[in-house]
Amino acid sequence: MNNSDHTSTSEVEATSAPQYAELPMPAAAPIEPHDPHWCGLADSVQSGWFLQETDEVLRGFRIERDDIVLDVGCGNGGATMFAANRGAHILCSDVNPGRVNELVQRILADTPSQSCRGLVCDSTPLPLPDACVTKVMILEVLEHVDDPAAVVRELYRVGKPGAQYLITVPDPVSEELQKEFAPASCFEKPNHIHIFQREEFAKLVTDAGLVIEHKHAHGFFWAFWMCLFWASEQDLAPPWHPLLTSWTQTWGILLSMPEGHRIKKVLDEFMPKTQAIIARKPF
Amino acid sequence: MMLNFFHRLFVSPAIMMLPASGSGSGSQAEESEWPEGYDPTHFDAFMSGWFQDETNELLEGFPIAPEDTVLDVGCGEAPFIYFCALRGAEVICADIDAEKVAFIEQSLRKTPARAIRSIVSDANPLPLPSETVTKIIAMEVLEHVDDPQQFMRELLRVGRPGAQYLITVPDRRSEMLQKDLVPPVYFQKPNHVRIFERDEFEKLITDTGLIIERRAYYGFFWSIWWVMFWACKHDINAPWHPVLKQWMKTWDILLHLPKGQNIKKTLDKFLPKSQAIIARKPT
Repeated sequence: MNNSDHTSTSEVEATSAPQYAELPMPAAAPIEPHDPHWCGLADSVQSGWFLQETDEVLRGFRIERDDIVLDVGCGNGGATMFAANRGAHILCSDVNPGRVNELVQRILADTPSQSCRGLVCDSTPLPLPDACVTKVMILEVLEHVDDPAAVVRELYRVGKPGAQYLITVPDPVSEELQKEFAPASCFEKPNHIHIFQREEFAKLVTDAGLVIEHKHAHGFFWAFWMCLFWASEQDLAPPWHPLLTSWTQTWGILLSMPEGHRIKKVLDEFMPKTQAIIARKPF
Repeated sequence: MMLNFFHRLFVSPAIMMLPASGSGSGSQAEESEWPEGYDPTHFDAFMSGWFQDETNELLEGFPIAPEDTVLDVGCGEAPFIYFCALRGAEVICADIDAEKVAFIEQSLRKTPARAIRSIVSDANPLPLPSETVTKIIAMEVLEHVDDPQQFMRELLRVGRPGAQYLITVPDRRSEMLQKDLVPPVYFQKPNHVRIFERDEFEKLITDTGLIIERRAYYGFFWSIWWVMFWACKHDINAPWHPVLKQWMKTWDILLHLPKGQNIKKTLDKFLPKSQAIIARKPT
Protein backbone atom coordinates (compact mmCIF):
# COMPACT_ATOMS: atom_id res chain seq x y z
CA MET A 1 0.00 0.00 0.00
CA ASN A 2 1.71 3.11 -1.16
CA ASN A 3 -1.01 5.71 -1.00
CA SER A 4 -2.72 6.14 2.28
CA ASP A 5 -2.68 9.90 1.89
CA HIS A 6 -4.64 10.21 -1.32
CA THR A 7 -7.68 12.24 -0.63
CA SER A 8 -6.98 14.95 -3.15
CA THR A 9 -8.90 16.04 -6.21
CA SER A 10 -7.56 13.26 -8.34
CA GLU A 11 -9.25 10.67 -6.16
CA VAL A 12 -12.58 12.47 -6.35
CA GLU A 13 -12.33 12.42 -10.08
CA ALA A 14 -11.37 8.81 -9.94
CA THR A 15 -14.68 7.80 -8.45
CA SER A 16 -16.78 9.73 -10.85
CA ALA A 17 -15.11 8.26 -13.85
CA PRO A 18 -16.68 4.85 -14.23
CA GLN A 19 -20.25 6.00 -14.09
CA TYR A 20 -19.71 9.19 -15.78
CA ALA A 21 -16.73 9.36 -18.04
CA GLU A 22 -18.29 11.84 -20.43
CA LEU A 23 -19.18 14.46 -17.86
CA PRO A 24 -17.04 17.49 -17.18
CA MET A 25 -15.67 17.16 -13.71
CA PRO A 26 -15.85 20.04 -11.25
CA ALA A 27 -12.60 21.93 -10.88
CA ALA A 28 -10.60 21.50 -7.72
CA ALA A 29 -13.37 22.63 -5.40
CA PRO A 30 -13.65 21.86 -1.70
CA ILE A 31 -15.44 18.59 -1.08
CA GLU A 32 -18.83 19.03 0.48
CA PRO A 33 -21.75 16.73 1.17
CA HIS A 34 -24.03 18.45 -1.33
CA ASP A 35 -21.66 17.76 -4.19
CA PRO A 36 -22.85 14.75 -6.20
CA HIS A 37 -19.26 13.75 -6.92
CA TRP A 38 -18.52 13.56 -3.22
CA CYS A 39 -21.61 11.43 -2.71
CA GLY A 40 -20.74 9.37 -5.78
CA LEU A 41 -17.31 8.72 -4.26
CA ALA A 42 -18.76 7.42 -1.01
CA ASP A 43 -21.29 5.39 -2.98
CA SER A 44 -18.71 3.84 -5.29
CA VAL A 45 -16.39 2.97 -2.44
CA GLN A 46 -19.27 1.23 -0.64
CA SER A 47 -19.78 -0.74 -3.85
CA GLY A 48 -16.15 -1.87 -3.94
CA TRP A 49 -14.63 0.72 -6.30
CA PHE A 50 -11.34 2.52 -5.72
CA LEU A 51 -10.28 0.61 -2.64
CA GLN A 52 -7.22 2.48 -1.42
CA GLU A 53 -6.30 -0.08 1.20
CA THR A 54 -6.12 -3.00 -1.19
CA ASP A 55 -5.11 -1.15 -4.38
CA GLU A 56 -8.18 -2.47 -6.18
CA VAL A 57 -9.82 -0.33 -8.86
CA LEU A 58 -12.82 -2.60 -8.32
CA ARG A 59 -12.86 -5.45 -5.84
CA GLY A 60 -11.13 -8.30 -7.67
CA PHE A 61 -9.07 -6.02 -9.92
CA ARG A 62 -5.87 -5.09 -8.10
CA ILE A 63 -3.10 -2.91 -9.52
CA GLU A 64 0.45 -3.96 -8.61
CA ARG A 65 3.46 -1.73 -8.93
CA ASP A 66 4.87 -3.83 -11.77
CA ASP A 67 1.70 -3.90 -13.79
CA ILE A 68 1.59 -2.47 -17.28
CA VAL A 69 -1.84 -0.87 -17.35
CA LEU A 70 -3.67 0.12 -20.51
CA ASP A 71 -6.64 2.46 -20.00
CA VAL A 72 -8.64 2.74 -23.21
CA GLY A 73 -10.77 5.84 -23.63
CA CYS A 74 -9.25 7.27 -20.49
CA GLY A 75 -11.35 10.45 -20.61
CA ASN A 76 -10.71 12.47 -17.49
CA GLY A 77 -8.43 9.76 -16.28
CA GLY A 78 -9.97 8.91 -12.93
CA ALA A 79 -9.18 5.23 -13.13
CA THR A 80 -5.84 5.93 -14.80
CA MET A 81 -4.79 8.12 -11.88
CA PHE A 82 -5.73 5.42 -9.42
CA ALA A 83 -3.46 2.97 -11.26
CA ALA A 84 -0.68 5.54 -11.65
CA ASN A 85 -0.80 6.19 -7.93
CA ARG A 86 0.07 2.50 -7.42
CA GLY A 87 3.31 3.13 -9.28
CA ALA A 88 2.34 1.05 -12.30
CA HIS A 89 3.42 1.66 -15.90
CA ILE A 90 0.64 3.49 -17.68
CA LEU A 91 -0.55 3.49 -21.28
CA CYS A 92 -3.56 5.70 -21.77
CA SER A 93 -5.49 6.12 -24.99
CA ASP A 94 -8.20 8.49 -26.12
CA VAL A 95 -9.34 10.02 -29.39
CA ASN A 96 -8.93 13.46 -27.86
CA PRO A 97 -5.22 14.53 -28.02
CA GLY A 98 -5.69 17.35 -25.51
CA ARG A 99 -7.09 15.01 -22.90
CA VAL A 100 -4.34 12.46 -23.41
CA ASN A 101 -1.56 15.04 -23.17
CA GLU A 102 -2.99 16.65 -20.10
CA LEU A 103 -3.39 13.32 -18.37
CA VAL A 104 0.14 12.22 -19.22
CA GLN A 105 1.52 15.47 -17.80
CA ARG A 106 -0.51 15.04 -14.65
CA ILE A 107 0.62 11.46 -14.16
CA LEU A 108 4.27 12.32 -14.68
CA ALA A 109 4.06 15.30 -12.33
CA ASP A 110 1.85 13.99 -9.53
CA THR A 111 2.15 10.22 -9.28
CA PRO A 112 4.81 7.59 -8.60
CA SER A 113 4.03 5.91 -11.93
CA GLN A 114 7.17 4.22 -13.31
CA SER A 115 6.38 5.24 -16.88
CA CYS A 116 3.56 6.80 -18.78
CA ARG A 117 2.70 7.02 -22.46
CA GLY A 118 -0.30 8.53 -24.17
CA LEU A 119 -1.83 7.02 -27.30
CA VAL A 120 -4.08 9.15 -29.47
CA CYS A 121 -6.17 6.62 -31.35
CA ASP A 122 -9.63 5.10 -31.65
CA SER A 123 -8.49 1.63 -30.47
CA THR A 124 -8.99 -0.22 -33.77
CA PRO A 125 -6.14 -0.85 -34.04
CA LEU A 126 -4.12 0.08 -30.97
CA PRO A 127 -0.53 1.06 -31.83
CA LEU A 128 0.84 -1.65 -29.55
CA PRO A 129 2.50 -5.02 -30.14
CA ASP A 130 0.79 -8.30 -29.23
CA ALA A 131 0.79 -9.47 -25.62
CA CYS A 132 2.39 -6.42 -24.01
CA VAL A 133 0.14 -5.35 -21.11
CA THR A 134 -0.94 -7.03 -17.87
CA LYS A 135 -4.02 -4.96 -17.02
CA VAL A 136 -6.62 -3.50 -19.35
CA MET A 137 -9.31 -1.02 -18.34
CA ILE A 138 -12.04 0.15 -20.66
CA LEU A 139 -14.71 2.04 -18.77
CA GLU A 140 -17.90 3.34 -20.38
CA VAL A 141 -16.41 3.22 -23.87
CA LEU A 142 -17.91 0.28 -25.75
CA GLU A 143 -21.38 1.87 -25.89
CA HIS A 144 -19.85 4.62 -28.06
CA VAL A 145 -17.95 2.56 -30.64
CA ASP A 146 -19.14 1.28 -34.01
CA ASP A 147 -17.88 -2.25 -33.57
CA PRO A 148 -17.56 -3.25 -29.91
CA ALA A 149 -16.56 -6.83 -30.76
CA ALA A 150 -13.62 -5.58 -32.83
CA VAL A 151 -12.45 -3.41 -29.93
CA VAL A 152 -12.62 -6.28 -27.44
CA ARG A 153 -10.70 -8.52 -29.88
CA GLU A 154 -8.04 -5.81 -30.14
CA LEU A 155 -7.83 -5.61 -26.35
CA TYR A 156 -7.43 -9.36 -26.25
CA ARG A 157 -4.55 -9.15 -28.70
CA VAL A 158 -2.51 -6.69 -26.63
CA GLY A 159 -2.98 -8.52 -23.32
CA LYS A 160 -0.28 -10.87 -22.06
CA PRO A 161 -1.45 -14.39 -21.29
CA GLY A 162 -3.03 -14.12 -17.84
CA ALA A 163 -3.74 -10.37 -18.23
CA GLN A 164 -6.75 -9.10 -16.37
CA TYR A 165 -9.50 -6.91 -17.87
CA LEU A 166 -11.91 -4.48 -16.28
CA ILE A 167 -14.74 -3.58 -18.65
CA THR A 168 -17.78 -1.45 -17.89
CA VAL A 169 -20.78 -0.27 -19.89
CA PRO A 170 -24.04 1.40 -18.82
CA ASP A 171 -26.69 -0.97 -17.48
CA PRO A 172 -29.67 -1.48 -19.82
CA VAL A 173 -32.38 -0.84 -17.20
CA SER A 174 -31.09 2.64 -16.53
CA GLU A 175 -30.38 3.33 -20.21
CA GLU A 176 -33.91 2.41 -21.27
CA LEU A 177 -35.29 4.74 -18.63
CA GLN A 178 -32.96 7.61 -19.62
CA LYS A 179 -34.10 7.17 -23.19
CA GLU A 180 -37.54 8.37 -22.15
CA PHE A 181 -36.15 11.65 -20.80
CA ALA A 182 -32.92 12.43 -22.58
CA PRO A 183 -32.63 14.38 -25.82
CA ALA A 184 -32.33 12.04 -28.80
CA SER A 185 -28.72 13.11 -29.39
CA CYS A 186 -27.65 11.27 -26.22
CA PHE A 187 -28.36 8.02 -28.03
CA GLU A 188 -26.73 8.98 -31.32
CA LYS A 189 -23.12 9.14 -32.38
CA PRO A 190 -20.76 10.16 -30.74
CA ASN A 191 -22.79 9.35 -27.63
CA HIS A 192 -24.36 6.03 -26.68
CA ILE A 193 -25.09 4.00 -29.82
CA HIS A 194 -25.39 0.62 -28.09
CA ILE A 195 -27.42 -0.59 -25.12
CA PHE A 196 -25.98 -3.88 -23.89
CA GLN A 197 -28.30 -6.36 -22.27
CA ARG A 198 -26.49 -8.12 -19.42
CA GLU A 199 -26.12 -11.46 -21.25
CA GLU A 200 -25.09 -9.68 -24.42
CA PHE A 201 -22.33 -7.86 -22.55
CA ALA A 202 -21.04 -11.12 -21.09
CA LYS A 203 -21.13 -12.75 -24.52
CA LEU A 204 -19.13 -9.90 -26.02
CA VAL A 205 -16.38 -10.59 -23.49
CA THR A 206 -16.35 -14.36 -23.74
CA ASP A 207 -16.61 -14.39 -27.54
CA ALA A 208 -13.28 -12.55 -27.66
CA GLY A 209 -11.72 -15.42 -25.71
CA LEU A 210 -11.68 -13.87 -22.24
CA VAL A 211 -12.79 -15.76 -19.16
CA ILE A 212 -15.16 -13.91 -16.84
CA GLU A 213 -14.10 -13.79 -13.18
CA HIS A 214 -16.62 -11.37 -11.65
CA LYS A 215 -19.74 -9.49 -12.63
CA HIS A 216 -20.74 -6.38 -10.77
CA ALA A 217 -23.34 -3.65 -10.99
CA HIS A 218 -23.87 -0.48 -9.03
CA GLY A 219 -24.92 3.15 -9.23
CA PHE A 220 -28.61 3.63 -8.44
CA PHE A 221 -27.55 6.98 -7.02
CA TRP A 222 -26.27 8.17 -10.41
CA ALA A 223 -29.03 6.48 -12.41
CA PHE A 224 -31.69 8.33 -10.49
CA TRP A 225 -29.59 11.50 -10.39
CA MET A 226 -29.64 11.42 -14.19
CA CYS A 227 -33.45 11.11 -14.27
CA LEU A 228 -33.66 14.19 -12.07
CA PHE A 229 -31.00 15.93 -14.10
CA TRP A 230 -33.27 15.82 -17.16
CA ALA A 231 -36.04 17.32 -15.07
CA SER A 232 -33.80 20.12 -13.81
CA GLU A 233 -33.04 21.38 -17.33
CA GLN A 234 -29.70 22.73 -16.17
CA ASP A 235 -26.24 22.47 -17.70
CA LEU A 236 -24.05 19.61 -16.69
CA ALA A 237 -21.99 21.67 -14.26
CA PRO A 238 -22.41 23.16 -10.81
CA PRO A 239 -24.09 25.01 -9.23
CA TRP A 240 -26.57 22.16 -9.08
CA HIS A 241 -30.31 22.63 -9.10
CA PRO A 242 -31.97 22.28 -5.64
CA LEU A 243 -33.58 19.09 -6.93
CA LEU A 244 -30.19 17.47 -7.54
CA THR A 245 -28.81 18.79 -4.29
CA SER A 246 -31.77 17.40 -2.38
CA TRP A 247 -31.37 13.95 -3.95
CA THR A 248 -27.65 13.99 -3.20
CA GLN A 249 -28.44 14.82 0.42
CA THR A 250 -31.02 12.04 0.58
CA TRP A 251 -28.52 9.49 -0.66
CA GLY A 252 -25.80 10.86 1.58
CA ILE A 253 -28.00 10.36 4.64
CA LEU A 254 -28.85 6.85 3.51
CA LEU A 255 -25.19 5.90 3.03
CA SER A 256 -24.41 7.11 6.55
CA MET A 257 -27.10 4.95 8.16
CA PRO A 258 -26.13 1.62 9.75
CA GLU A 259 -28.65 -0.24 7.59
CA GLY A 260 -28.14 1.99 4.56
CA HIS A 261 -25.95 -0.51 2.72
CA ARG A 262 -28.83 -3.02 2.59
CA ILE A 263 -31.04 -0.48 0.88
CA LYS A 264 -28.28 0.55 -1.48
CA LYS A 265 -27.69 -3.08 -2.45
CA VAL A 266 -31.33 -3.67 -3.31
CA LEU A 267 -31.60 -0.48 -5.37
CA ASP A 268 -28.22 -1.02 -7.06
CA GLU A 269 -29.36 -4.44 -8.19
CA PHE A 270 -32.68 -3.10 -9.40
CA MET A 271 -31.38 -0.15 -11.40
CA PRO A 272 -27.60 0.17 -11.58
CA LYS A 273 -25.98 2.89 -13.63
CA THR A 274 -23.08 0.67 -14.63
CA GLN A 275 -22.41 -3.00 -15.24
CA ALA A 276 -18.83 -4.20 -14.85
CA ILE A 277 -17.06 -7.41 -15.82
CA ILE A 278 -13.65 -8.50 -14.59
CA ALA A 279 -12.17 -11.06 -16.98
CA ARG A 280 -8.86 -12.75 -17.75
CA LYS A 281 -6.99 -13.78 -20.88
CA PRO A 282 -6.19 -17.48 -20.53
CA PHE A 283 -2.56 -18.56 -20.15
CA MET B 1 -62.88 -18.36 9.08
CA MET B 2 -60.83 -16.06 11.25
CA LEU B 3 -59.77 -13.62 8.60
CA ASN B 4 -57.91 -10.74 10.06
CA PHE B 5 -56.87 -9.11 6.87
CA PHE B 6 -58.10 -5.64 7.55
CA HIS B 7 -56.10 -5.38 10.67
CA ARG B 8 -52.85 -4.44 9.05
CA LEU B 9 -49.62 -4.49 10.89
CA PHE B 10 -48.19 -2.19 8.29
CA VAL B 11 -50.02 0.86 7.15
CA SER B 12 -50.54 0.91 3.43
CA PRO B 13 -49.25 3.93 1.54
CA ALA B 14 -52.80 4.79 0.67
CA ILE B 15 -53.48 5.60 4.26
CA MET B 16 -50.99 8.39 4.21
CA MET B 17 -52.72 10.01 1.28
CA LEU B 18 -55.08 11.79 3.60
CA PRO B 19 -57.00 14.69 2.14
CA ALA B 20 -55.26 17.93 2.99
CA SER B 21 -58.53 19.13 4.43
CA GLY B 22 -58.62 16.12 6.74
CA SER B 23 -58.67 15.92 10.48
CA GLY B 24 -55.04 16.89 10.96
CA SER B 25 -53.90 13.49 12.18
CA GLY B 26 -52.17 12.93 8.86
CA SER B 27 -48.60 12.96 7.73
CA GLN B 28 -48.48 16.67 7.08
CA ALA B 29 -48.76 17.53 10.76
CA GLU B 30 -45.09 17.87 11.68
CA GLU B 31 -43.75 19.21 8.40
CA SER B 32 -43.18 22.86 8.94
CA GLU B 33 -41.29 23.35 5.68
CA TRP B 34 -44.51 23.09 3.70
CA PRO B 35 -47.31 25.64 3.70
CA GLU B 36 -50.13 24.93 6.08
CA GLY B 37 -52.64 22.46 4.68
CA TYR B 38 -50.21 21.30 1.99
CA ASP B 39 -49.26 17.64 2.07
CA PRO B 40 -46.64 16.61 -0.52
CA THR B 41 -47.85 13.00 -0.44
CA HIS B 42 -51.35 14.15 -1.22
CA PHE B 43 -50.03 16.27 -4.06
CA ASP B 44 -48.28 13.20 -5.48
CA ALA B 45 -51.54 11.25 -5.26
CA PHE B 46 -53.34 14.10 -6.97
CA MET B 47 -50.78 14.09 -9.78
CA SER B 48 -51.39 10.34 -10.12
CA GLY B 49 -55.07 11.05 -10.78
CA TRP B 50 -56.42 10.59 -7.25
CA PHE B 51 -58.72 12.97 -5.37
CA GLN B 52 -59.75 15.09 -8.36
CA ASP B 53 -61.95 17.65 -6.63
CA GLU B 54 -62.84 19.46 -9.83
CA THR B 55 -64.27 16.41 -11.55
CA ASN B 56 -65.38 14.53 -8.42
CA GLU B 57 -63.27 11.56 -9.44
CA LEU B 58 -61.73 9.53 -6.65
CA LEU B 59 -59.36 8.21 -9.31
CA GLU B 60 -59.52 9.37 -12.93
CA GLY B 61 -62.30 7.28 -14.46
CA PHE B 62 -64.04 6.67 -11.13
CA PRO B 63 -66.43 9.60 -10.49
CA ILE B 64 -68.53 9.86 -7.35
CA ALA B 65 -71.99 11.48 -7.45
CA PRO B 66 -74.45 12.29 -4.62
CA GLU B 67 -76.79 9.55 -5.81
CA ASP B 68 -74.06 6.89 -5.45
CA THR B 69 -74.01 4.30 -2.71
CA VAL B 70 -70.33 3.65 -2.05
CA LEU B 71 -68.95 0.63 -0.22
CA ASP B 72 -65.32 0.75 0.93
CA VAL B 73 -64.16 -2.69 1.97
CA GLY B 74 -61.15 -2.65 4.27
CA CYS B 75 -61.49 1.08 4.57
CA GLY B 76 -58.47 1.52 6.84
CA GLU B 77 -58.24 5.12 7.92
CA ALA B 78 -60.71 6.06 5.23
CA PRO B 79 -59.28 8.79 3.03
CA PHE B 80 -61.18 7.29 0.10
CA ILE B 81 -64.58 6.98 1.66
CA TYR B 82 -64.04 10.45 3.11
CA PHE B 83 -63.66 11.84 -0.42
CA CYS B 84 -66.94 10.12 -1.38
CA ALA B 85 -68.71 11.44 1.71
CA LEU B 86 -67.70 14.98 0.76
CA ARG B 87 -69.51 14.43 -2.57
CA GLY B 88 -72.73 13.79 -0.67
CA ALA B 89 -72.94 10.10 -1.50
CA GLU B 90 -74.26 7.39 0.78
CA VAL B 91 -71.20 5.74 2.27
CA ILE B 92 -70.70 2.32 3.79
CA CYS B 93 -67.37 1.49 5.38
CA ALA B 94 -66.47 -2.05 6.21
CA ASP B 95 -63.48 -3.14 8.22
CA ILE B 96 -62.70 -5.92 10.63
CA ASP B 97 -61.49 -3.47 13.27
CA ALA B 98 -64.56 -2.40 15.26
CA GLU B 99 -62.82 0.48 16.97
CA LYS B 100 -61.55 1.88 13.71
CA VAL B 101 -64.96 1.61 12.09
CA ALA B 102 -66.60 3.45 14.98
CA PHE B 103 -64.02 6.22 14.79
CA ILE B 104 -64.49 6.62 11.04
CA GLU B 105 -68.25 6.71 11.35
CA GLN B 106 -67.86 9.50 13.87
CA SER B 107 -65.63 11.60 11.63
CA LEU B 108 -67.84 11.02 8.59
CA ARG B 109 -70.72 12.66 10.46
CA LYS B 110 -69.14 16.04 9.82
CA THR B 111 -69.44 15.52 6.05
CA PRO B 112 -72.42 16.10 3.73
CA ALA B 113 -72.77 12.34 3.15
CA ARG B 114 -76.40 11.55 2.45
CA ALA B 115 -76.25 8.46 4.66
CA ILE B 116 -73.53 6.74 6.65
CA ARG B 117 -73.28 3.09 7.59
CA SER B 118 -70.48 1.13 9.05
CA ILE B 119 -70.01 -2.58 9.10
CA VAL B 120 -67.66 -4.66 11.17
CA SER B 121 -67.04 -7.60 8.90
CA ASP B 122 -64.37 -9.78 7.33
CA ALA B 123 -66.34 -9.56 4.06
CA ASN B 124 -66.97 -13.25 3.96
CA PRO B 125 -69.85 -12.75 3.60
CA LEU B 126 -70.73 -9.06 3.66
CA PRO B 127 -73.90 -8.41 5.66
CA LEU B 128 -75.49 -6.58 2.74
CA PRO B 129 -78.29 -7.60 0.38
CA SER B 130 -77.45 -8.35 -3.24
CA GLU B 131 -77.31 -5.58 -5.86
CA THR B 132 -77.49 -2.63 -3.48
CA VAL B 133 -74.36 -0.51 -4.07
CA THR B 134 -73.22 1.47 -7.12
CA LYS B 135 -69.55 1.99 -6.29
CA ILE B 136 -67.27 -0.57 -4.66
CA ILE B 137 -63.78 0.25 -3.41
CA ALA B 138 -61.24 -2.31 -2.19
CA MET B 139 -57.82 -0.74 -1.79
CA GLU B 140 -54.80 -2.90 -0.94
CA VAL B 141 -56.99 -5.66 0.43
CA LEU B 142 -56.76 -8.61 -1.96
CA GLU B 143 -53.13 -9.31 -1.12
CA HIS B 144 -54.23 -10.07 2.44
CA VAL B 145 -57.08 -12.47 1.77
CA ASP B 146 -56.97 -16.26 1.71
CA ASP B 147 -59.33 -16.66 -1.20
CA PRO B 148 -59.32 -13.70 -3.60
CA GLN B 149 -61.85 -15.35 -5.95
CA GLN B 150 -64.33 -15.81 -3.16
CA PHE B 151 -63.74 -12.26 -2.00
CA MET B 152 -64.33 -10.85 -5.49
CA ARG B 153 -67.51 -12.93 -5.94
CA GLU B 154 -68.85 -11.37 -2.77
CA LEU B 155 -68.07 -7.88 -4.07
CA LEU B 156 -69.77 -8.77 -7.35
CA ARG B 157 -72.87 -9.92 -5.51
CA VAL B 158 -73.48 -6.65 -3.66
CA GLY B 159 -73.00 -4.43 -6.75
CA ARG B 160 -75.97 -3.30 -8.79
CA PRO B 161 -75.90 -4.04 -12.51
CA GLY B 162 -73.65 -1.33 -13.98
CA ALA B 163 -71.88 -0.76 -10.62
CA GLN B 164 -68.30 0.42 -10.87
CA TYR B 165 -65.37 -1.16 -9.00
CA LEU B 166 -62.04 0.32 -7.95
CA ILE B 167 -59.63 -2.41 -6.88
CA THR B 168 -55.94 -1.95 -6.06
CA VAL B 169 -53.14 -4.27 -4.98
CA PRO B 170 -49.38 -3.74 -4.55
CA ASP B 171 -47.40 -3.99 -7.76
CA ARG B 172 -45.11 -6.96 -8.08
CA ARG B 173 -41.96 -4.93 -8.80
CA SER B 174 -42.22 -2.96 -5.61
CA GLU B 175 -43.02 -6.07 -3.57
CA MET B 176 -40.00 -7.89 -4.99
CA LEU B 177 -37.77 -4.95 -4.17
CA GLN B 178 -38.85 -5.06 -0.54
CA LYS B 179 -38.59 -8.81 -0.20
CA ASP B 180 -35.03 -8.82 1.11
CA LEU B 181 -35.58 -5.86 3.42
CA VAL B 182 -38.81 -6.47 5.27
CA PRO B 183 -39.23 -8.50 8.45
CA PRO B 184 -40.65 -11.96 7.65
CA VAL B 185 -44.09 -11.05 9.03
CA TYR B 186 -44.59 -8.68 6.11
CA PHE B 187 -45.19 -11.61 3.82
CA GLN B 188 -47.12 -13.69 6.35
CA LYS B 189 -50.70 -13.75 7.47
CA PRO B 190 -52.38 -11.34 8.26
CA ASN B 191 -50.15 -9.24 6.05
CA HIS B 192 -49.33 -9.82 2.41
CA VAL B 193 -50.01 -13.47 1.63
CA ARG B 194 -49.63 -13.10 -2.13
CA ILE B 195 -48.02 -11.01 -4.83
CA PHE B 196 -50.08 -10.37 -7.94
CA GLU B 197 -48.56 -10.37 -11.39
CA ARG B 198 -50.27 -7.76 -13.52
CA ASP B 199 -51.97 -10.30 -15.80
CA GLU B 200 -52.97 -12.42 -12.82
CA PHE B 201 -54.67 -9.42 -11.23
CA GLU B 202 -56.53 -8.68 -14.47
CA LYS B 203 -57.61 -12.29 -14.79
CA LEU B 204 -58.98 -12.27 -11.27
CA ILE B 205 -61.15 -9.28 -12.14
CA THR B 206 -62.38 -10.60 -15.49
CA ASP B 207 -62.95 -14.13 -14.16
CA THR B 208 -65.28 -12.60 -11.59
CA GLY B 209 -67.39 -11.32 -14.45
CA LEU B 210 -66.37 -7.66 -14.35
CA ILE B 211 -65.38 -5.67 -17.41
CA ILE B 212 -62.12 -3.76 -17.09
CA GLU B 213 -62.37 -0.09 -18.01
CA ARG B 214 -59.00 1.26 -16.94
CA ARG B 215 -55.67 0.22 -15.44
CA ALA B 216 -53.41 2.57 -13.51
CA TYR B 217 -49.91 2.16 -12.10
CA TYR B 218 -48.65 4.71 -9.62
CA GLY B 219 -46.51 5.33 -6.57
CA PHE B 220 -42.81 5.40 -7.50
CA PHE B 221 -42.44 7.85 -4.64
CA TRP B 222 -43.85 5.28 -2.21
CA SER B 223 -41.82 2.39 -3.61
CA ILE B 224 -38.63 4.24 -2.76
CA TRP B 225 -40.08 5.60 0.49
CA TRP B 226 -40.80 2.08 1.69
CA VAL B 227 -37.44 0.70 0.63
CA MET B 228 -35.74 3.45 2.62
CA PHE B 229 -38.15 3.06 5.51
CA TRP B 230 -36.75 -0.40 6.28
CA ALA B 231 -33.37 1.14 7.07
CA CYS B 232 -34.86 3.63 9.52
CA LYS B 233 -35.70 1.31 12.36
CA HIS B 234 -38.54 3.41 13.62
CA ASP B 235 -42.28 3.12 13.94
CA ILE B 236 -44.61 3.80 11.12
CA ASN B 237 -45.53 7.30 12.15
CA ALA B 238 -44.08 10.78 12.28
CA PRO B 239 -41.65 12.27 13.08
CA TRP B 240 -40.01 10.65 10.10
CA HIS B 241 -36.34 9.84 9.83
CA PRO B 242 -34.28 12.58 8.09
CA VAL B 243 -33.72 10.34 5.08
CA LEU B 244 -37.48 10.02 4.54
CA LYS B 245 -37.99 13.74 4.98
CA GLN B 246 -35.25 14.53 2.50
CA TRP B 247 -36.68 12.03 0.01
CA MET B 248 -40.10 13.61 0.35
CA LYS B 249 -38.57 17.02 -0.23
CA THR B 250 -36.71 15.81 -3.32
CA TRP B 251 -39.85 14.35 -4.80
CA ASP B 252 -41.85 17.46 -4.05
CA ILE B 253 -39.31 19.67 -5.81
CA LEU B 254 -39.51 17.36 -8.83
CA LEU B 255 -43.29 17.50 -9.03
CA HIS B 256 -43.24 21.28 -9.19
CA LEU B 257 -40.87 21.49 -12.15
CA PRO B 258 -42.24 21.90 -15.68
CA LYS B 259 -40.92 18.48 -16.70
CA GLY B 260 -41.66 16.91 -13.32
CA GLN B 261 -45.06 15.52 -14.17
CA ASN B 262 -43.74 13.77 -17.24
CA ILE B 263 -40.88 12.20 -15.33
CA LYS B 264 -43.18 11.12 -12.51
CA LYS B 265 -45.44 9.39 -15.03
CA THR B 266 -42.58 7.40 -16.51
CA LEU B 267 -41.20 6.48 -13.08
CA ASP B 268 -44.66 5.50 -11.83
CA LYS B 269 -45.00 3.08 -14.71
CA PHE B 270 -41.46 1.83 -14.21
CA LEU B 271 -41.66 1.08 -10.48
CA PRO B 272 -45.21 1.53 -9.20
CA LYS B 273 -46.12 0.88 -5.60
CA SER B 274 -49.60 -0.17 -6.63
CA GLN B 275 -51.67 -1.29 -9.55
CA ALA B 276 -55.32 -0.26 -9.85
CA ILE B 277 -58.13 -1.57 -11.99
CA ILE B 278 -61.41 0.21 -12.62
CA ALA B 279 -64.04 -2.28 -13.75
CA ARG B 280 -67.78 -2.51 -14.21
CA LYS B 281 -70.46 -5.09 -13.47
CA PRO B 282 -72.36 -5.75 -16.71
CA THR B 283 -75.88 -4.37 -16.90
